[in-house]
Amino acid sequence: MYIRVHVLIPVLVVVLFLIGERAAFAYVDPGTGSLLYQTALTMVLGLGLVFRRVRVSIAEFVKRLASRKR
Amino acid sequence: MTRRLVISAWLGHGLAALFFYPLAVALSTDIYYLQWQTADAIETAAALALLASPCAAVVFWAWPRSSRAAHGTLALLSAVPLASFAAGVSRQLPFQRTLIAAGETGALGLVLSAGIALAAVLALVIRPAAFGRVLRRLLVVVSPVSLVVLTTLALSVARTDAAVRIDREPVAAGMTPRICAPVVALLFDELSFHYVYDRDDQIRPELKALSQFGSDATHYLSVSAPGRETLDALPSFLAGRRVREIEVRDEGLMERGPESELLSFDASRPDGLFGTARALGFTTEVGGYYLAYCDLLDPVVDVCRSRSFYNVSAAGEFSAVDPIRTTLVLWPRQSPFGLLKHPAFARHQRGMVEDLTAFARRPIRKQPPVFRLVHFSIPHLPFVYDGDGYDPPVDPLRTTSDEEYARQVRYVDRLIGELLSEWRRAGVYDEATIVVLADHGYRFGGRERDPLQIPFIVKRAGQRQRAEVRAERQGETLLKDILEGACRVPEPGGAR
Repeated sequence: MYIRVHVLIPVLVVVLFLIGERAAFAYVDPGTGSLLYQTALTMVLGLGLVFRRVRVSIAEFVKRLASRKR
Repeated sequence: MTRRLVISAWLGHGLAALFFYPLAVALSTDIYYLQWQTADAIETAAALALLASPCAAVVFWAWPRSSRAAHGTLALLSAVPLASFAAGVSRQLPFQRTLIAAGETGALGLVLSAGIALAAVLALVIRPAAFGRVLRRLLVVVSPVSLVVLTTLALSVARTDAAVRIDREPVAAGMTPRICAPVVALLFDELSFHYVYDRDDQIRPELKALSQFGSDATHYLSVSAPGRETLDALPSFLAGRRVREIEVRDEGLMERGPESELLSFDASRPDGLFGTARALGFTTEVGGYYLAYCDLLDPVVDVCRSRSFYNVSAAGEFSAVDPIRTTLVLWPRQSPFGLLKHPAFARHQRGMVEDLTAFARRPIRKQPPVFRLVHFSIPHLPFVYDGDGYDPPVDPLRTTSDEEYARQVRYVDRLIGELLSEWRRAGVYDEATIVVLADHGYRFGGRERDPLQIPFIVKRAGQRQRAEVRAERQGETLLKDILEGACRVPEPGGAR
């Protein structure tokens, strides 16, 4: 039950906001753009703040990149 | 304590920034439509600071507490920023059109949002500790998105160069001595021919001001719009020629050239509507919304007012509330978003109409004569007016019925009546040429039979009789012809 509630709420929230989208019926919908990549990247950073394993993975990834450059 | 302070400050500003995420997305890709000013960026920074402080205070209180009240307060505080963030993300998804189609089921949004609220409440009641932990983790995960919002906002300052207001002394640039009557063109966005006229090509009796105006005016009954949408139609009117295709880029409008290449669109050419007006010796005035009129026509207009359809901020008025309202205007229209979007959008429509009406009401200059074009944002949605004035329905963006549109057309009639009465009282009505026209027809069915047929009514200086012209004309060239027709070369010897 704990895991179900734990997972269910964020999933439902995402589903609601995605399915709920509707055209503004104006000429354009400003914002059909591309901040997604930057947003996703910062959220990975956010995951790093919460989960130690993600933090370690990010650190290892950066180390690997640095050693390749050398 | 220090850690708690840092967390509160970080999450407080993060929640405030998340709310402005849809605005950041619009700034990154559609800044032209926002007619963004440095003052708008400053307003947004002020709004962000204003929202961040109470958010930080609430987080400071709730963060270390494990009671249901603390979790619930944190959830309530986060709900709107998270919703705003989700709305901004959903706009960028590649399968957005599918989502839009799915979202057309009106009840779905309500049922789902009610379901989610219920699930959240149940989780809070049954498993408060887990609820609190998940919520806190979620907030920390999304909080760095604030960096994207702040960066986009900061970068927007470097891209703010759209002029939205021009007031300069008239420049006399007449090519030959002419005597011209003042010309005022009132262009109503999406005013449908078939909602103005009945099947016998008579103005519908419920539109009393238009009927009275039309009784001593010329009715052009076969005028084609230059495009189905404002973005295509208005540039053609400004250029005085049919523009093939318009695209919006950061640097402004582009038009499709003869070999399908993209060229910078120039509305200020000498053969354009306002270039022609200047050459004839008119002082030139334009007021409108949606297009960046002052930017487009800067070299050839003396007075200009331009409003964005999406950015509620008005030039010269500082308000930290405006960026909040702009963000709400940028939200999706469906429930539950619509509950906050609709009032903000309705109020913005009223603001635009009031501004443009005030602009239209400016005194009509006879010497030198004025050419004034006013592009009104009605009867285009949001539908917030009826014949008696501002009276927004619950959903002013509803197009499943044409009832709200028809109500707003009645307000257009009232507005025309008020303007004409004022000009009659001022003694300029008879001596001026007045044009009532539209950029295109109604796009959502109803009584509309051809959205490319537009009403085009012209009362020339001194005209006393109704006339009809059934020959096919193109709106953009007809308007330029009317302007030129308002002038004549003086007779030799100075007689007028």
